[in-house]
Amino acid sequence: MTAILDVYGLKKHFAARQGGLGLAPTKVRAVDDVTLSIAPGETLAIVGESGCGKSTLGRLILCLERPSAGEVWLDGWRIDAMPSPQLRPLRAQIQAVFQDPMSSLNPRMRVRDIIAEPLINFRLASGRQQIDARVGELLELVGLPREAMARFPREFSGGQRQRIGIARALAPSPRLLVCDEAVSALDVSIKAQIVNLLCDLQRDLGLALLFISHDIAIVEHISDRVAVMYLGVVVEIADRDALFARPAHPYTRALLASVPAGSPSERGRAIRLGGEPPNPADMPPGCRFHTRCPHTFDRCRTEAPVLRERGPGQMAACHLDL
Amino acid sequence: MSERTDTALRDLVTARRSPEVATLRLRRARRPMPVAWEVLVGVGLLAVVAALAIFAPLITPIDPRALALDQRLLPPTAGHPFGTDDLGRDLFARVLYGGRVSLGVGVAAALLSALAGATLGLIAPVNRALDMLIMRIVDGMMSIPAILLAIALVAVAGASVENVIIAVTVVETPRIARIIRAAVLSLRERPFIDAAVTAGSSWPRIILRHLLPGVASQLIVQTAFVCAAAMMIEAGLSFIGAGTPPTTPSWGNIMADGRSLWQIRPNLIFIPAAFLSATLIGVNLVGDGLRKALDPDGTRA
Amino acid sequence: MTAPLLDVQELRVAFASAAGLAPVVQGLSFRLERGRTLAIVGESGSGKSVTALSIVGLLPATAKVDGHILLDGRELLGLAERDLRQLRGAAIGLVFQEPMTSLNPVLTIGDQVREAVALHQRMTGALLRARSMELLVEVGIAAPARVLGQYPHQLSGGMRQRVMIAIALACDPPILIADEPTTALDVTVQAQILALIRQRQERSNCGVLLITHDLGVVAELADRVVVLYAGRAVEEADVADIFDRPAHPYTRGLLGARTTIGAAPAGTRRRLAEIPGSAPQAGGVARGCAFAGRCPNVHPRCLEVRPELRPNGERRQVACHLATAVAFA
Repeated sequence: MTAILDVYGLKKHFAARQGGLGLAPTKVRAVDDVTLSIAPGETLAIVGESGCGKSTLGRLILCLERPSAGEVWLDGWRIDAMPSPQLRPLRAQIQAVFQDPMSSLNPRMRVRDIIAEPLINFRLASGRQQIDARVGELLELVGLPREAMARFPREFSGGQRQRIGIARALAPSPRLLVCDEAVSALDVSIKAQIVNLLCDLQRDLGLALLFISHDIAIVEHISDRVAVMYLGVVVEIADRDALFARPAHPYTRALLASVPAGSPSERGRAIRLGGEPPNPADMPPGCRFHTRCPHTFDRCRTEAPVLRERGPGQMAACHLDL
Repeated sequence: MSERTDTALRDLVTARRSPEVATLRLRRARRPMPVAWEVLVGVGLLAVVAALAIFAPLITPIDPRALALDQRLLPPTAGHPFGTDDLGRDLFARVLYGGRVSLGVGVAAALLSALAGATLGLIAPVNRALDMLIMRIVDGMMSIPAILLAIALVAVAGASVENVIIAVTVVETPRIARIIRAAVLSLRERPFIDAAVTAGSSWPRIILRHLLPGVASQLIVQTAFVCAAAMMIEAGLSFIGAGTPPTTPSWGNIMADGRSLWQIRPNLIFIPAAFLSATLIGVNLVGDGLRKALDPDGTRA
Repeated sequence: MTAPLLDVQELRVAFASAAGLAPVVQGLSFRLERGRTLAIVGESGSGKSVTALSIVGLLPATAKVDGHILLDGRELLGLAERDLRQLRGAAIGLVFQEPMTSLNPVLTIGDQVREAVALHQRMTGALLRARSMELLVEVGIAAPARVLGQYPHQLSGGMRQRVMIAIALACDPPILIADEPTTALDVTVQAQILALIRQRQERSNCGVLLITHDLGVVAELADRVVVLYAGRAVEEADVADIFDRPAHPYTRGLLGARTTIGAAPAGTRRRLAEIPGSAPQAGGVARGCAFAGRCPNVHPRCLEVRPELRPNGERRQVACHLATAVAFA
C-alpha cells in the first residue's frame, strides 16, 4: 500500500540577513533535510521545542510554503512544485487544524459558511439545502449542535471553535489531517476532549494524522509513530512504544525527563538539560545537539550524525549507542 | 477518497451524539452598538444640505444662470433671500445648485477612489513584483498636486465637472490604496487565510470573501474622509478657475466671483463658505463616528 | 503556629461592564506562610489571575474588590497607590507569564534590573552594578556582564524569565507571586525555571504564591493547593492529598485529563478522561453547584443548593455535597 504522504530531503532556508558590507548573509535552516512518510490510517507525531522547525515542516507539507529543496508526495502525486490550479483539487486530500482557535476562523463569517467553504471549493455539495445538510452532519460529528451553523465564531469558547475547525477540515473527507499544535492553546480539560475526539474520528474515518506538538506527553496518547525534531533535523523517529520505553537519542531522553512530575513524590527527578537551544542562524558544526548533550565527545563536534537503525522500528541520529 | 458512504456517516453521527450537544452553552451575542452622536449630527447636516441641493428646482424657481444686470449686488430681499451677485444672479439659487456640484463631485470622487484604491490595495500584496509595480505607480500619483493635474487636464480636455472628478480621484486614490494594502498585509498573516488556502480557495476568492470583508470597515471610514477632501479640492480648484466651468455654479466659483467684492457684499463669499464648511463638518463627523463604531483602535482589520 | 504571611479573606472581585456587575472571584480565602508554596489551580475563567492582580492592586479601575488582604497583618485593600508602590518589589515580587511584554523592550536588561534595585534600596554606581551582576548570577545566567547590556528581544524566553525572576527577587521580598511563570516556555526550559524557583525559595525562605493551570507544575513546586472553579474555591488541601486522594469531582477530572508519560500501556491507546462541556463564567450559574452540569456524580441537591467549603479530614476543605456527606457517613 502506498504511503499517503512521502517527504524526501525537505529543506527550507530563510535568509536572515542580506549580504553586503562585508557581512555574509546568514541563513536560517528552519528545516534541513527531513525525510519521512505516513501510511494511510496512521498517526505520526512530530515533537520538538520552539525553533525546531516542526511548524515550518507542517506548512511545507500543506504547501503553504514552497520548499528550498526536496520533494513532497501526496498519495502518489508530487505536490511541492505543482502549479496552483492543479494543486487545488488535491488539497481535498490533506486538510489542517490550526493552533489558535481564535484566529483560525474568519470572525466575519458564520460557522455555516466557514465549514461550507471547502464543500463549495471542491464541488462536494451545491445548493443551500445540500450544503446545510452536510454542514449539520459535520457539526454533529464533532459534537456540536446543528444550530451552531447560524452563529459567529465569537459566540463560542476555544474548545468549541477548535471543534468547528475540525469540522471544516473533515468536510472534504481528507485522507490526511495535519494538526499543527491543535490543542496547545486549550485548557487542560478541553485538551482531553479534543484529543479524544481526534482519536475517535481517526479510528472511525480511517484518517492518517500528522500531529505536530511540543507536548511529548500528549503525543503518547495519540500517536503510532513519533519523530523528534531539533533545530531543523529529525534526531529520532520510532514506533511510539519503542520511543517511550527505550529512547535512543539524548535529546529525546531529556525531553521525556523534562516533563513535569506526575505527582509530588516524583518531584525533582528530571534530568535538567543545561543551556539554551543555539541560535538557528548560527549553528555549531557537527551534531546540532552537542552543545547541550551530556554525552558529547570529539566526533560530535565535527561530524553530524545521520539517522541509523537502532532497533525494530526505531532510528536515531547519534554517534553513540545508548 | 474515504470509503464511507453517506448512510455510514449518518450512523456514525447518531452514535456520537454527545452530552455536550445538550448542554451547549454559547456566549451571548454582542449587543448592537449604540450609534455614535457624531454619526447622527453629521448625517443630519448632510441630509439638510443634500435635500436643499437635490430639491433646488422645487425650492426656488429662479435659474441660477439667469443674468439680471439691473439687479446687481442686491442685499437679501424677499425675492432674493441671499441677495444677488455682480451679474444679478440670485445667490440663493446659485448656492443651492452649487451644492449639487460640490456634493456630486465629493461623492463621485470618493466612490471612484474607493473602488480604485481598494482594488489596488487588495491586489498589490498578491506578489512582490506586482506590489512594487503598483506601489510605485501609487507613489507617482501621490506626488502630483491636485491643482497642477487639474490645470493640465483643463488645458488638454477643457474645463468640466468630469475633469475635476478625474483629477480628484487620481489624487485621493493613493491614500485609500495604501491604507487598504497595509490592512491586507496584516490580515493576510492570520491563520484563517492559511485555512482558506488549505480549503481550496483560489486567491480571487480569498480576496473577495476573506480580505475584503476584513478591510471593509476601514474602507468605509476612509471613503468618508476622501469625500471631504474631494469637496475641498473641488472648491479650491473652482476658486482658482481650474475646476467647474464658470457657467455651472459651484461653491468654489461662487466664492471666486465674489472675491473682489467681499467688502461690499460679504454674503458672496461667506454664504457659500458656510455651506461648504457645514458640509465638510458633516462628512467628517460621519467619518469619525463610523471610525469610532467600526474600528476604534485603528488596528482591527 | 506562626501568623500567616499573606492572609486573604472572602475576596470578591467583580468587573463593572455595560451589562452590570460581572463577578469574577466570589468569596475566596487562603493563607500563605513563609517558606511554603501555595498553588492556585484553575482553568481560564476561574479567576486565578485576577486574584493575583488584586493582591498587588493592579486591577483596572472598573474592578470592584471586597474582602480582606492582609500582608503580615497589614490590610492591602484600599491602600493608597503610593503605599502599594512601595510594597511592590520590596514586599511582593511578581513574575508574569509573558516575559516579552513584562520587560520594557526599549531598555536594556541592566537598566531594568538596576531600576528594580534602586527603587527600594539606596544604592548607586559601582555598588548598584555589582548587585545587578550578582542578581543575574543567582538566577543562573552564565554571562551576566553581557546580558546586562542586551535588550529583551536578544534573549531567549528562558533567559527573559530568569531576568524576570531576578528582578522580582531583587529586594529579597518575603512573597513571590508567580502567575503562569512557565506556560510560555519550552518544556526543557520549564524544568530549569521550576528548579530555579524552588532553589531561590529555599535560599530566601520566601512564600511563593503560584498561579497555574498545569498540574505538573503544581506537583513540582507546591506544598498546598487551592483548586478554583468559576470564581470559587472547590478544594483546598496539601499537595500529596490532592494528587493521591482528590475529593472534589473537578479535581479528579483535572487529574484524569492530564497527560503523563507512561500512562498508556504499550500497545494500547489510553483514552484521556475528559470533563464534558465547558466551564461557566463566575456567577453564570445562579443556583446550585457551578460544576453540577459537568459532574459525573451529580445529585438533585447539587442543582438546588450551592455547596460551601467544609472541612473534610485534616488540613483539607471541599465544596461538594457528596464528598462531605461521605466523610461524615
